[in-house]
Amino acid sequence: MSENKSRLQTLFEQGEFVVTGEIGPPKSANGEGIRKHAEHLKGYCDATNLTDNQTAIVRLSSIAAGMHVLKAGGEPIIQMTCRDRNRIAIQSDLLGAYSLGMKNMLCLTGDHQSFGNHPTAANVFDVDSIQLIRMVKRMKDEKVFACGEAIKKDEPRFFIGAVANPFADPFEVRVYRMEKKINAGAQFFQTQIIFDLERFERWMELVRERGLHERAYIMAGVMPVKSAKVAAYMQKNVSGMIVPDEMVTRLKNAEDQQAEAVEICVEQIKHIRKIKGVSGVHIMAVGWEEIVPSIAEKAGLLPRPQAAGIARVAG
Amino acid sequence: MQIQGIQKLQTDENRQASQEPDSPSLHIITKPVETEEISFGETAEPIREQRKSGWTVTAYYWCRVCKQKTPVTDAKSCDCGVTMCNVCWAEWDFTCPICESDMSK
Repeated sequence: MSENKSRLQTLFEQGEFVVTGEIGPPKSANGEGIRKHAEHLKGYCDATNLTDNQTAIVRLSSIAAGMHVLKAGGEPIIQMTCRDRNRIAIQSDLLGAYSLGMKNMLCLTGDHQSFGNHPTAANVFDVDSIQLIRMVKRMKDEKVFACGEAIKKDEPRFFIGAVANPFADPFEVRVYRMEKKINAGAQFFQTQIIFDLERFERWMELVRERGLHERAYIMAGVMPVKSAKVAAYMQKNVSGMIVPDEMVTRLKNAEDQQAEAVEICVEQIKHIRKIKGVSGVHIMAVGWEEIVPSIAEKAGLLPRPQAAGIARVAG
Repeated sequence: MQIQGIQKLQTDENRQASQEPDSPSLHIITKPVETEEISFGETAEPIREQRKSGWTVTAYYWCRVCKQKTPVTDAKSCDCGVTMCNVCWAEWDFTCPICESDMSK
């Protein structure tokens, strides 16, 4: 199969500062909301993540959601976790997704099922996220399935993404894990939501020391925090995330907390953009997707660039 | 003397064996279905989790805040993924602390 790159990959290769959004599929069989959100993000984001049963809660599948995004004229990034499928099901879904026109995928381990709405469900974890990345890369580059059998024609040629968390401990190990993922075949990264810019900068220093920013594209995860209440909850109850006290106080003291939330997010994006080695931002506006255009505009991310050879405006 | 002693032992063993009842033959038994009744507080409806019968139900959630195992009737899960027991939801005025959805219904 000839090289048929995604818009996302093309923009990275053009050296553009890329913007991606995220849609959490609904807990229903209705794709209208996804199409609506995709329409909202069109022209403001270059591609959109579709989560795979996020927080281990049953939702409309990420591949079906990707189809809705494609129909709305956007470009999907399909998330794929290792929790719910064995290697047979994963490879089957990869073939299916690629046949439907999806070209980007993000490989994750997945939240443990005990925290979701089916805590007694069996998990799979036949492969972990690094093995999953390796599997997708082998399908693409070596044209073989995980068992070694050749894919005779039309192999899936995904642009392979992975995640990195600069805020989990032990801090130094995070970079090694990232390097392992790059060695396995990861081409781009999306990080955990960043509130502590100082720690992110220190992490990026370690990334640069090992030259990882030259081997993969790194996107910094940001989130507009709607209110002081949301910030306080995340500070206290969401692990693997550092919410500084100053941010909570700033939101608390603001007259219009939502406007302040946008302002903080815009400041973060402008700061992140200056950090060497960062190739884009991933905006996770959980339940507040309609604010993304405003953030993109205020952060000076518009107009979105065109990808050479790809006419469609993605979202 | 030694031969007499051995003969006595053998006789004792035979007598002992003849007094023991026959070992029971194997047969199929019917095992009742195990049913576990879980009850949490007065407000919770008893939830039966039927095992070894081909179906299962999720009887509880883990509250993300107090980390307690809570029956599904005493917990709520927001569309964005936040799952808490009703006591913890009350602390957040039944408004999702992530996406601010109304969780009072």
